Amino acid sequence: MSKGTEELYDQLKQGPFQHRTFTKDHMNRIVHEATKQNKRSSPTKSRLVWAAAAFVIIISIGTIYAYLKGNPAAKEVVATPPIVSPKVQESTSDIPVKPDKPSGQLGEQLPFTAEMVESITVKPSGKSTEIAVPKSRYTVITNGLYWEDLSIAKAENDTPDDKQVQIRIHTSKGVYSVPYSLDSNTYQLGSARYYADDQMLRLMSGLLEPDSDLAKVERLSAAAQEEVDRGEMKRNDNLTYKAERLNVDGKDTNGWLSQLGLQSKSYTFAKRYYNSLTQRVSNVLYYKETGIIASASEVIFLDSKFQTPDGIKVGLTKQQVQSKLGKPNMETDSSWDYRVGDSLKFHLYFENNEVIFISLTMPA
Amino acid sequence: MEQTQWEYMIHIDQMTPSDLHDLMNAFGQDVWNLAYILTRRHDLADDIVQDVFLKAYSSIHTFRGHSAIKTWLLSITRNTSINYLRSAFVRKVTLFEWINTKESSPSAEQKVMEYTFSSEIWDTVLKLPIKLREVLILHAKYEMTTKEIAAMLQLSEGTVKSRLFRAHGRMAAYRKESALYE
Repeated sequence: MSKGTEELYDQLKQGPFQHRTFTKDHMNRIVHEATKQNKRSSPTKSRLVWAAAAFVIIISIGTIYAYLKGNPAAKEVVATPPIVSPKVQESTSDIPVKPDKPSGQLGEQLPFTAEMVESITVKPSGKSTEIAVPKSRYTVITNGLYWEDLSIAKAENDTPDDKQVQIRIHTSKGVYSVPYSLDSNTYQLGSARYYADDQMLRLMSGLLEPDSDLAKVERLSAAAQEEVDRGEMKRNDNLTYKAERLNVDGKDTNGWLSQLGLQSKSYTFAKRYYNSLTQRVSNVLYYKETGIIASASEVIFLDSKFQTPDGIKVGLTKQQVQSKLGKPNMETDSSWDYRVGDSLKFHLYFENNEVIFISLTMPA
Repeated sequence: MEQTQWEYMIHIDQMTPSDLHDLMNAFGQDVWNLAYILTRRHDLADDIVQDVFLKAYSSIHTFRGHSAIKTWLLSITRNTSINYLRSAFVRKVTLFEWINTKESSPSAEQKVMEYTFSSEIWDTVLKLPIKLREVLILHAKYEMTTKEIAAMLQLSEGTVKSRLFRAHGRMAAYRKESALYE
């Protein structure tokens, strides 16, 4: 463990507060409440009830089984599963997500929970077909909505967008609907619009503009994340790389962000997004000509004209990367990550064994 | 030693109020801290700590010593906290609040004292996304192994290590950034 980590861990062992926040008053009240509950129910008694119920169920199953065994016709009926057509829920019955107050964290005002979500679809304006959001990406939508700070993320422009889609969140209680515009990366919540986060921008680009560069980034980032979540990840903690070897065209993330900031007018588009970590609204800048996508903490290179001092660039195979640079610190099938200092800052994303894009990140 | 003291809990079907009091005396602050770190709200931490100990009280027969009792309590705390965050966030009016409003409440000054962070590092930790925050805290503060954390969070150990790695990276970056402004 490094000295910095040791210091961090020592500090975290204390607190978070200087004083005790769980007091004797708390304890007395909980004991009081427990005693009250104890009078209402006894676990021994309830377990007896469950045991009796289980006995009845076992006897019933046995009886039904015996009946089916001697009655082939009945067996057929039971063996055929009922065919149920999926229930189509009309968008006219959707429940719009409208916060009660236009401030604070949206998560505290949402009418549904993440557990309630059965599926999520996206319905483009004027179309009858809907696009199914992959299950592994539900959290992009639920987390994005949950962490939205309405006081900070409010968009300057409240004009409704003709091209906006409906994000339809299907739950057992009904379908909750959130209008979203990819052009402005905003949600319509009640009478105002709010910037969505950059993950949402990527996800919706992937769904609505599948041939775009943002969609390409979304596709491979999602694949890499799924691999990590499935535990399909190798680590090489002992490898260290000099920071200079992981610069692209001689610059690290900060260098690139400074340069792009100076050339801010040359972008193809700038889309604003709400960053829940920094609690600020920032821009995603896209430069079509050079194949660069930049946000407040990441620069992505989609073109082979940019490379590291070792010649790592888009189009190389995994074998070529390994021979020129070396093994990554973290590796899945779709992404290789290299560490600078304490953080993974240089990332390569692969498809069909070929580097599709390079990403430089800052931890924050 | 700590585990030995609580071993008898493995064999009981029902806690006495005295057992509950002892358990809260030993682990109440740990439970409250974890609930606060996950929800970042004092009021929710107060509610969650009550739910956790009431659940422990009513279901001690399900604790059979597969983990230390502290880990069992932290696991209930973590799940309860996440449920609070995911649920409709309806603020429950608990017995606590009712009593607090009836009785004389602490002065504002006393409250400020109570809620002063022990270190500036907490400002930074609480900014981490919850997925990174929880693994960092369970590892650093509660000294759980990545294997124990993986079991608690129902994740693979690889995912836990990856999140821990990312949490360390972010903390280092924050510290570096704040050092630049000092």
